[in-house]
Amino acid sequence: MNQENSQRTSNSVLVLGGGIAGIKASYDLAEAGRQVYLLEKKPALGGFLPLLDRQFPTNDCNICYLSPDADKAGGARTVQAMPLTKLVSLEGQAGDFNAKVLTSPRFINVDRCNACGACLAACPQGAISFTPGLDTNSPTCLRYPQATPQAFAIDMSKCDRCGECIKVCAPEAIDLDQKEVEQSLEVGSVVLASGGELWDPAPMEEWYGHGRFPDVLTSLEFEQLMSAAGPTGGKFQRPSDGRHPKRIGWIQCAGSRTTKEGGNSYCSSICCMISMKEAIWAMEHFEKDLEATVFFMDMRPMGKDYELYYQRAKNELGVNFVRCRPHTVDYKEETGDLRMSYVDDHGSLGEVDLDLVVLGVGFCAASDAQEQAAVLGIELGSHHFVKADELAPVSTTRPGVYACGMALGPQDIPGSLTQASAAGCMASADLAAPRALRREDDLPKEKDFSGQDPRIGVFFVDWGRVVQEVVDSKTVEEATAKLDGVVHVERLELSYGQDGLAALEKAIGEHKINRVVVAGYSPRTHGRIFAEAIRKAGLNRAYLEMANIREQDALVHHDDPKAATDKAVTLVRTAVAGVRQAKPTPSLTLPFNPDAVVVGGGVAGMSAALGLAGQGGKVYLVERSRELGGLANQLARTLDGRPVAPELAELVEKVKANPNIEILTDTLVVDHKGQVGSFITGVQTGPGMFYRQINHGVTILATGARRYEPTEYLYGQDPKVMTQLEMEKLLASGEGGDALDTVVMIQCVGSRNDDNPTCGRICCRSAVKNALWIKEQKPDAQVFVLYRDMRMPFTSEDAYRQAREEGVLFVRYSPDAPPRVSKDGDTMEVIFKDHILDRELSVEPSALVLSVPQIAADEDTEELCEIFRLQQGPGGFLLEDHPKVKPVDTPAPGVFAAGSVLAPASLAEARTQGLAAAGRALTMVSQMSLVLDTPVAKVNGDRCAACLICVRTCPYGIPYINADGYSEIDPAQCLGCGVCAAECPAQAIQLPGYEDDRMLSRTEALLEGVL
Amino acid sequence: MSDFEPVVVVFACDYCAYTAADVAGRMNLSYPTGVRILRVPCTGKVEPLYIMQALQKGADGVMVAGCLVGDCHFKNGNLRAAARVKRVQTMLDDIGIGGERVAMVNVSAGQGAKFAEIATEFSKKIGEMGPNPIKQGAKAAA
Repeated sequence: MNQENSQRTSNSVLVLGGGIAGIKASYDLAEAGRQVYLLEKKPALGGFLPLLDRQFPTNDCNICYLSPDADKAGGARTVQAMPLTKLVSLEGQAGDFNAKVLTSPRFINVDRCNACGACLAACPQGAISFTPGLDTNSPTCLRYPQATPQAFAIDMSKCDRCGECIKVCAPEAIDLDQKEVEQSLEVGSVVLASGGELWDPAPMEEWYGHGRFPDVLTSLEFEQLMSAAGPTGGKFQRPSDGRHPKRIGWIQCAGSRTTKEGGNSYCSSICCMISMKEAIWAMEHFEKDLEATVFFMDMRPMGKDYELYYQRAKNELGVNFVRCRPHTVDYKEETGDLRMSYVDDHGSLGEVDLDLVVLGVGFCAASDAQEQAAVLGIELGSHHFVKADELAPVSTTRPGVYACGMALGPQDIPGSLTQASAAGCMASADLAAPRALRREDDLPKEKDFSGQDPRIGVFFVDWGRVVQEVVDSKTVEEATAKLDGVVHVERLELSYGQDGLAALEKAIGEHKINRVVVAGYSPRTHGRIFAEAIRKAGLNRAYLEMANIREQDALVHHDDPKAATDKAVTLVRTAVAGVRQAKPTPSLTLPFNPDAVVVGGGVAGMSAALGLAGQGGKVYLVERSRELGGLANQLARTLDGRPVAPELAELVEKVKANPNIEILTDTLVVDHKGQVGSFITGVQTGPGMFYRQINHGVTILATGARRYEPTEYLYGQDPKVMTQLEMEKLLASGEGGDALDTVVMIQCVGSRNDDNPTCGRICCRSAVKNALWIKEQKPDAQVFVLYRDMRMPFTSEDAYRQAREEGVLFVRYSPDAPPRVSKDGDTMEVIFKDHILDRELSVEPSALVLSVPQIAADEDTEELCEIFRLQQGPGGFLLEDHPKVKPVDTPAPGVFAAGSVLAPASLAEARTQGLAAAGRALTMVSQMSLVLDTPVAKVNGDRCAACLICVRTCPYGIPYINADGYSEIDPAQCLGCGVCAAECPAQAIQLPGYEDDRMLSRTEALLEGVL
Repeated sequence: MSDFEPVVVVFACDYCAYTAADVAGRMNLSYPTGVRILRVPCTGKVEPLYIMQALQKGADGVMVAGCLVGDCHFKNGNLRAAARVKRVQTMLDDIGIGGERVAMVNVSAGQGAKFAEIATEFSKKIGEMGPNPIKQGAKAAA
């Protein structure tokens, strides 16, 4: 982090790479009041994300969920996106870098280009490129390529200056004489988010036939085939002959987990999920009777609850899974089929005919990774990815330079976003103390519409394919235009960055709109964003109503387009009826307390505390036990095999030495109230249960998980039976002795079963770590690992290979026939079936090691959820705000979460999430004041009989009878549940937005035509 | 009565059931199109009047969908709602509309599948009960 002697005067960060990780880091930093230079080598931002049609596990396109964030706080104004730009040199040190950057000419003046595409059609050399991507200055998404006005560029290496494009360009945007521009930027820190590349199957053409047979596609090519903007315009046809494919095979680990020339030895971690997603999407949207088969070695759905997605694909949706080693794809001339041959689980040859083969290809480091590392002065690790450690997972070898996303290794979106927020937090610590922001000051004055008739604008936002293929938008638009009070109906196509929302603001001004209905998204995900947008146009935030056409109509009624269209009309009509009666809600400005409470003193909690300390206010670190360190105290080695204790001790020391952190050990959180910016948390400390209240603005929950206590396999009945953690302790003591002669490990004990359907995520890696350690201490030891799928992401695959080379025997078992353990006197016997030999084997182990998962600390998490008003997800872990795009946010504003309270986590993940939660919290801490405009209950004094019902009803005891003899409710304290309004016998209390007459209007509109 | 598709109004709490309905959408699950959702900040805000008005305006059934017992974002709004639903059910039985047309259900924010299941089941049950008798009255009056 920051160096002691650095200046810390800069407020700027350089972010390299405009993929989703770079964008996230940039917007987090911008929201926290930092200036960001966002460099992208390509002509447009976006990275991989815009190339994907869908993203697991929600099978939605999350661009639209991520993008409006960019606009939300107006933070976008301090992000300067610099496409076609690369870093040439970086001098100086953390806190005070000088970066030279070079911007290549685009040869098209983006201010003039209107993206008509005439140049593209006119160019005889194909030198005009259209890069699907995201541009913060323009709405861009692959599925809406027509809305990519600024992504055209000319490739000069192909151009022969014939001038054809200049002739056809009406707005005279083409300038072939543009020169490259070098600039020098002063920045305090650097975030490297330059991403990776998809593995190119060319070196293995011989095996997979990609390049030889047109119907062999990579996963990304298949994704485009399904995309409405893809080569077939969304028609489901195979490339060779346009045939509608009925049998598709996905080949996993294409080019991954191999020592063959041209392949990668590591596991790319996310391809299993990508293939399953593609199979499910293809079945659900193109071909119900599709024979979708995934050919795999081990299924590795590694993220939180991804195992449930796998089980659903297999057991409910009918995707076939064949465990095998695929080897060759051939083409059969006579039928036009592809024939794939493989060796199955029993070692026999198999063959299958397919219409289409999709290669589940992995990811590699960027081809210029070495060049870039040299410019940055950082070291690369294995396979040319940026070198990082378990306990410094987003730091590079050069202080002040941090990394996130695929630059660190293959990564899914939540992983990339978490690392991005973590890297943002680290980068921010190298800067000067953040400037406090006062957001409301920048907004125009609210217009007064009192006495005016409603002029309602209805905006159909982002009716992409998901909605359009179910709901007939024309019918809905026509019906909407006829509604009373509606003066304007407009479609807004995608709102990435500012432009989508800018169009909304413009329409409000042009058509004198005084009330807005947004039809499309759920108010849960997008209400806030559109409320801010109309506020920017001078409307009070309460003049908005949302019609949830996506989640509550198109997505749930995809099998009945007619009824879904009718329902869309109804939902819009209801929203219009509601907004017609909207009244402005006065906003209330409160000071924002920059202090933070972090609950849980494990690795995640300590990381969060250190991330926040010194960047805002004071941090209270609350730990229930007497010691900091949490579950990590029980670990001897990290998953990459280094000792844990010294690094953990260093982390604990740093926390203890930090003057901005107050450590409260032996302390329990007992209550929590207030809202973001002004929370009050009650804690009890020590045996005397001394109670005190802490005032703070943000909260981070990192209370961890607990280990599953096995009841299986004679655990607790025989000293030979132990958990991996106990084996680790034995190995660390160096006194394993004879116990290490013959070791049998059993995987998935207490996970992936009926009681706990989730995957423990790190138990496979722990088993391999310990197996290697046993071999290190006793090379002639016999070690068996009985497993279901070995889940060894990224370079841990290399450790798995090493273990096999060192003679560790990995034997797969099926959940229907698990290993059997019996005991006769002192002799223990483990019987299991070897699939390749197809017979039962018996081993007498000197130690039987059970791989048990971290499970939700159920009662504690339940209590935590009760206190902080949060929810538990499947398996009892804390439910995050959105599994894909808000992995460390919770639904409660100002409350974040990190570590194994969310899901089983490795040290690196706990550390990253802790920093990420701190990074997310910093986006709020930087605010000097908090504007409250959520609806709060209002009392009409004239009607109040001071009957005290509201006083008794309020869950928080807020109403009181004032000096004038009627009930009064403090707007700063009221949370807006509306219970008092519902109970008030005189109807003297109303909750804005839910007034009785407004609810009645909604009900009437919702049921119009039913009677 | 086989082609009768009931209209069910759901008063869904923003913190749980409304979110669960969103999750059901994201999971690509489905439930009958007659299920129409109105968002409320807490089921504790759902007044007996709202339920009665929905039935009066022609809904065949009404569900009040709140957080799991013990999980109310506002401590006990869902329990208040449950008590009110019970009162409304008694009234409906008394006037011959049938208390079973109204139900209090509890789902957590993550339970998209449960929401879809409950909505489908309730809709089916109302379908078996037949249309809201008020409708016939309204038609006769017209």
